[in-house]
Amino acid sequence: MDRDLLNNLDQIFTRYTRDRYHSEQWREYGKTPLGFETELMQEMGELGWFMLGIPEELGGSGQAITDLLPLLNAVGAGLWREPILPLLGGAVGALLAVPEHPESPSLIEQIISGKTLVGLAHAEFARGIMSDRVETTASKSGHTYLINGDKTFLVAAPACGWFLVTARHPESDESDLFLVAAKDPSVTLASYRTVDDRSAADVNFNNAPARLLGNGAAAILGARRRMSILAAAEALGIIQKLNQDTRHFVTERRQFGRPLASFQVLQHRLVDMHILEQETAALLLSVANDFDRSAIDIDRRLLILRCQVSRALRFVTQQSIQLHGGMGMSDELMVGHFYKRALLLESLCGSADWAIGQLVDYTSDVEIN
Amino acid sequence: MAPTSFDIQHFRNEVRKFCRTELSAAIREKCNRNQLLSKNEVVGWERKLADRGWYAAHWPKEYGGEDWSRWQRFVFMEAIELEAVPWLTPFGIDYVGPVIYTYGNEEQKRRWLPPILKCEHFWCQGFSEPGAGSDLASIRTKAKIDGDHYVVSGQKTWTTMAHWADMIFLLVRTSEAEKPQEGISLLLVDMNSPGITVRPITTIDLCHSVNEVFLDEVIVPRSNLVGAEGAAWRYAKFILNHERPLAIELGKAKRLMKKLARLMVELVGDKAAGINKDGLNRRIAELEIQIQTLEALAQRILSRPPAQDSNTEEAAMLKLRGSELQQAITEVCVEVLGYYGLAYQTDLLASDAEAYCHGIDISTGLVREYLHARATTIYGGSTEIQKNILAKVIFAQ
Repeated sequence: MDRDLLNNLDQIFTRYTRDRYHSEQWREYGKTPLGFETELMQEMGELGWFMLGIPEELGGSGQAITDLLPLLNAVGAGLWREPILPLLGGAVGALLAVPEHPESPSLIEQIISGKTLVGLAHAEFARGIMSDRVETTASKSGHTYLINGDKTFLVAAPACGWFLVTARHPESDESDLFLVAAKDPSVTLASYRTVDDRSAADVNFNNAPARLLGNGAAAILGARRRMSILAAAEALGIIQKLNQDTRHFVTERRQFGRPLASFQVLQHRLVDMHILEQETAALLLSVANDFDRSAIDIDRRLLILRCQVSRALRFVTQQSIQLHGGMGMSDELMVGHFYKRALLLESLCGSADWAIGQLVDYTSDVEIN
Repeated sequence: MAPTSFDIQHFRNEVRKFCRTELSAAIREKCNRNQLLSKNEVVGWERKLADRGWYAAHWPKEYGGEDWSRWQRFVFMEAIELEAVPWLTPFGIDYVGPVIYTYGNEEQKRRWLPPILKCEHFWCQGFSEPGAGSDLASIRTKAKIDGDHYVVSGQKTWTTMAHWADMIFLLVRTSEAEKPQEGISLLLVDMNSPGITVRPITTIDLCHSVNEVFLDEVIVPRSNLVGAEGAAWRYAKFILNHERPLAIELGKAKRLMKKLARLMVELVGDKAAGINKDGLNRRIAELEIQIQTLEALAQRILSRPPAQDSNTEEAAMLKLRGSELQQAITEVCVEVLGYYGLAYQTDLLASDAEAYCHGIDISTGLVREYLHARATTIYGGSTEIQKNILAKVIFAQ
């Protein structure tokens, strides 16, 4: 993908949202059991969008994550239903962390095509959503491994062709990353609808045959880092869209004989929302650049980004409902759907409270310089 | 990414090293304790920077500067703020100087710019009045033409360092117009003119930095009018847009954070201090988030060339967040001081103080900083005014 094209991605994505994702279409796609249309996913793959942010030697357009930010902005602003964040964040992040395994390039190739979904099966009820440790076990059986355990909240699981499963060896706490065919009879899915009107499943592995891909801790770290940046980019897209829509709404809507926008208290609220947007955009870019040059303090920077983004997203989504008044509560308006997506984004990547707790641990270790 | 026409890290180190080697240990210690400085100490430091070529390096070359980008100036300011050095007074180099070289005539540039560069003229800013604070356009100080002169009468207030100043740049009303923003002019006035009286205002930190300035039929040559008569609202906005980004004081914020970290080490286990370790660590993490976010915002804004007239929005955002940050940090500092922060010994703010000190040596200075920080969200256009400005911008988009 050449630079000219990369520079025009914003426009391309905006056009795509206009053509494929106006609100009636958005509702229509939601009527499918998966909560999204696999054809759209394939179309995006054919357009080459999943090459972004993936190294050239793996068939991508170059590994700079900054190239991928416009796509996630569009996912946020357009409220796209495809599981792009868990795929390009979680699954790709984990696979890029175990690049030496011969399966990795082929899995990434499948992801790029948009035809096969790969899901990262890590979170467990037993350990909590943000834990690095797992209870699921992998025991060796001849040349293969057998996975046993339960994973939870696997987004878009029913559509996945492969699961990347973290499991520990029975005798140790160390986990590894394994590859399991999603349709293997030993894998059972219990699907449900998510708060953002998509699908997820709890997955049981009962002696599921698996191939060892590499170190589990490295894979989870890689997935978390990538998810963290991409989730921030999606959140920024939501913030930008809602700020724009809410400004438009208060300009049009009249009460007490004048536009809502003429009330200072509402103007200042929108300014608060605008500043959060500008700050979040600036911090995201700064941290993404640090990520691309492998800065040594990247994990600390990501936590700071997480706090800022979480709070900004929460404030903007809540205030957007507030400023839309009663209409903001209706299912008909999109505002509430953004709010529900925000809840999901926060929980998947850790809340501001979680992030600040982690930061405190860092602050105690690192001397402020 | 920031354009790097200069090596940031190298430059920053060079500036910091200069601060450490060129400033006397005595003044350095005063700055560290936030004690009072004399005019000679402040101006003496500015001369050192001028000799080094850094004082007004952000000015264009043709007026004696080095054509620094605003990004390089920001890096410079951050670097000196990281060190305990005297306050770099902005009235000449940042406010009136740029107005004169942008809007003044050739004669004015020749006459007024060199004494600023050589630290010979100390300037102050005559904007606010008792009836015109946030509502700056409603100023009433009048200037009437009388032959070759203006005769100026009225009152200015909150005039920072007027008691040190040789010159004042004054917003005056030269005509009554329908819109209050029209009919305002900018005059350069000698503080030694007959009819000027300066009266100190003591602020809540019990220090004297601001003043009332009374003007009673002060004679000012007409050649001291900058730009066009009645057009000064534009120049005032130009000055405010220069003033506001300076209020970020990111370097100072980082220096205070280091101070805070040292305080925590020093006072841990001291029952008189206010250290609740878990709570504090959390608040320090919060401050760190504010600092890094502001730094990213400043970098994004200041590292690109200024777009025509777009810096109003940028300046407003940086001012707003920078001032909030100063308040937040000083608040935590004072909280850590606990009981020690409840004493306020202004006699210790004098350099030769030998008085009994309750607690630790820097506590009065920190409390002074904390008290003074309340002003940051008021001066240069209060936070609420910044939000009004930003509202205009975002609804115009």
